[in-house]
Amino acid sequence: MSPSFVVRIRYAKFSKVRFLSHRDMARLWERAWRRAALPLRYSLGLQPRARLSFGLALPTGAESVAEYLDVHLPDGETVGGDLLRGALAESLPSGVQVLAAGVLRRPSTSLQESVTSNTWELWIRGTPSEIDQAIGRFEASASVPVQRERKGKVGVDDAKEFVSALRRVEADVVRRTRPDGLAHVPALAEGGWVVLVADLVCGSRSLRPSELVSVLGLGDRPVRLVRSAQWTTQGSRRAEPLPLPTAADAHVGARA
Amino acid sequence: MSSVWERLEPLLERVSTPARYIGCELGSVRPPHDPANVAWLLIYPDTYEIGLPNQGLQILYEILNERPDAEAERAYTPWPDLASEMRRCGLPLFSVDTHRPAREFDVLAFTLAAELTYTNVLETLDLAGLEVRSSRRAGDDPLVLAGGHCAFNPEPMAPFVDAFVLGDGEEVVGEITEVLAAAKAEGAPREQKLRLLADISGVYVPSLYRDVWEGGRLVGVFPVVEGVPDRVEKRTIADLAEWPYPRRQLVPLTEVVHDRLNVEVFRGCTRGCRFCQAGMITRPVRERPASQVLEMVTDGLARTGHDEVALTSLSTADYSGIEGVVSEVVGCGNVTVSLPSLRVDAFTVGIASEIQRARRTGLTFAPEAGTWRLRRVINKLITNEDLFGAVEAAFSQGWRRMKLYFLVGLPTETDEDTRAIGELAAACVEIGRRYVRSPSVTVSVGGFVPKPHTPFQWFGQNTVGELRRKLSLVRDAARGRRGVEVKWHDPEATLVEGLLSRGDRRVADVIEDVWRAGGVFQEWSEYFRLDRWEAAAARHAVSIDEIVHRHRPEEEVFPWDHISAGLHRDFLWQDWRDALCEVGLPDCRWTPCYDCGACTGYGVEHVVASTTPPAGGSQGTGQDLTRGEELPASVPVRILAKASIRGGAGDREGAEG
Ligand code: SF4
Repeated sequence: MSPSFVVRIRYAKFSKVRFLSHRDMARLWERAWRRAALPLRYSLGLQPRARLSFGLALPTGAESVAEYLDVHLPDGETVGGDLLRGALAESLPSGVQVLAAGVLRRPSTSLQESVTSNTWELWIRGTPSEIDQAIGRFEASASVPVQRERKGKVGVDDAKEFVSALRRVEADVVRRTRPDGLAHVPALAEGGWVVLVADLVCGSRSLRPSELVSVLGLGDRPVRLVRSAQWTTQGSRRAEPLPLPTAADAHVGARA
Repeated sequence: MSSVWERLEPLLERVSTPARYIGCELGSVRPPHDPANVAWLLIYPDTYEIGLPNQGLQILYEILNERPDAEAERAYTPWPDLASEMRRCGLPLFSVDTHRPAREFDVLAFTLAAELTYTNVLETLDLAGLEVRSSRRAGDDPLVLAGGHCAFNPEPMAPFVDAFVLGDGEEVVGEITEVLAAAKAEGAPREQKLRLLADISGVYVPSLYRDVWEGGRLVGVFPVVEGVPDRVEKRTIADLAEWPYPRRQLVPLTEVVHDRLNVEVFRGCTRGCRFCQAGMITRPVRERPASQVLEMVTDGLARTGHDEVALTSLSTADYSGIEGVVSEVVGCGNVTVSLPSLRVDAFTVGIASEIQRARRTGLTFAPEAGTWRLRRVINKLITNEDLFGAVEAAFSQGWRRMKLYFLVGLPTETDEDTRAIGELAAACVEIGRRYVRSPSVTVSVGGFVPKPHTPFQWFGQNTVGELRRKLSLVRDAARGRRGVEVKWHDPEATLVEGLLSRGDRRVADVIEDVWRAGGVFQEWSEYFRLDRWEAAAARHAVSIDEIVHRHRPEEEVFPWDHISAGLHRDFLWQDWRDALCEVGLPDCRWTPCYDCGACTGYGVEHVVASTTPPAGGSQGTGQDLTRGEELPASVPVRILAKASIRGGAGDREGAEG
């Protein structure tokens, strides 16, 4: 049997297209892939569907420099880095940018299952001391109840179970750690924004970044969300599903 | 370049479907702003999802942006959640391309494709920061233009629109641009611009005309200045081949209706269905050469990444050599082909099997009426056998579901005709059982609105109560038939559609009142409220009954008589008489011309590739028009309709109650 591969892509989503929904993104990628005339595996059946699988949905309106996508290739086919760099990059709208891509043997677990935590930046209007106080209050509480509805029933969870790290980071430092050329994500011209960085555990249950903002007592302020990393667990270490500075031959690097 | 994006962005965090407002579509342009250019803002007065796919708007967008003296951007009516945020923050209407405020454009041009969007035009103007009435707009306010099918009765919208454009827009937008560019360069005042526009063929400037009334009856709409035409003629492009647009169809980033590659294979239709305004006002038929269709399909698929292509027109199976074209398109790869407007008598096993070689979508047929008798009245010349043949072709090729469109409230309709709708659907399901397991047929029923420039313009529309009664007849006939599902449009909305499509200039006050009372997005059932329309009509002493339900006598002046779609009034009247006598009229593509006026007056004629009608015996050509079911025993509505035509003005007996 001929081997079957997926192309794993890490991409950024920012600016106007941040208002596209998860479904919109799926459609956008499928069309971009076809426009670039790249090979694509379809499901069998009466209504064949393109085989694209995404990681955890990004909330509509949030930006990201760490979105992942697996595109399944037909058996025996593979795709060169130059195609991904050229044709694919050109068929994407502005605000969707390929950061890295690699061809993998079809993985046994999906992106959704393998990602165990996310790093979020919460850009919040306020002063550093206000944010520090909010972090202090959160850390000092034995538990932080958050109400949620599951299958029509209201239950209470402890937000602390889902937060593995919470810290304030200077905006400039955040910007310096961006993948090439993305220091402007989010593009907030004026000052007055403080960045809270949170690692949120994900699994069958998880805490949405917007829920974190409200349990921190900051729900009434303007907030911009950026997902800056997704993590898988490899042994006791966490690792990116597709590392950015990679030696892999299919690495396409950043677009200017 | 000014952009409101920075101010809009925080509002988008709080509204539904913010992707409606971001632009960024493949195929969209961000034209550089040159103050010498004529800047057009093309507006579809409904949501982005409905408006984006509009092909007319996309064609003009592209043609204008190719001109060195024009720039064009797009806008849609913001959904009420954003509209109220915009009003709260004082944020004006903006283009989705560069988020430029609407007032910075020279022209706001609306597509009027459906009457129920009229109040949204006012809403959109108001959000733009303009007075809704033309007479109150100031010198440097943008000009408000409107085109589209509804412009063929412009009067209800006359006080709000500076100029209407009739017919095909491809050529006339260029002429308008030239006139306005020159006027702009010399700083001409608003009145002068309008006067200059009125000299362009196909442009109607309502402020240069006045409606004259006598004894409660309209005498006519007449020019009030020298030199403007008594009757404004529509524009017709002679050859679609010269206009291969849109070349760069917009590819939306969010979900919209008809989200696929659309390629127009011909324009116009002369099947002569008497209820169909589109068929009448877009005559004659102009086909696109097959080679150009294929080129547009191939290029379009590669450029857009769509995997579905729709071959559009008013009746696509009539396209010369349709089977060949479909088969070549299917050969383009993993592509779904949809033919959104199929005639049952031209739908063959050949087409069915070609389509199903690719992936298949749902099939829709539009018999429109339940019996052959009534189909001769409306000149939809398909027999039950035609329908059963098409249905059988589809089921035999593996389809399991189809949709059938019908109208109720047609002239001379009897209860037998109405009940036959349900029976016809049940018979189709029976045919399906021979081929597939659990076949299903959805019957979609709409209330008939007699439209201007059709032979039925003299007919009085059924009341809401009567339409409801007929819908229940259809439902009763379909009850207990496995596989038949009945859906219908709200008869109350049909009533308002009737008011707006046949209304006169006085109806403008009603529209404005409804809008001021919050009546936006009237196409959307969650916002439609009949009582608002009734209250507004009462306040302005506009009789809905008289405009909507009354049969008209032969000599009555219509509010749209100064607007010409080319059709001679005596042709339409004769066709109306023929309808009442159940006389079918074959398609003039393959039989001698009836001199309806659509070709003769404009020096154009049908452009068809084939001199023989499509397979299946098309629209009466070569068909035995007397064949079919027996006449129903009693035809009360029909007799009354005739009586009222003789009866003259104000005779309400004819309308059923
Ligand atoms: S003028 Fe004659 S040929 Fe042309 S559309 Fe009318 S009836 Fe047909």
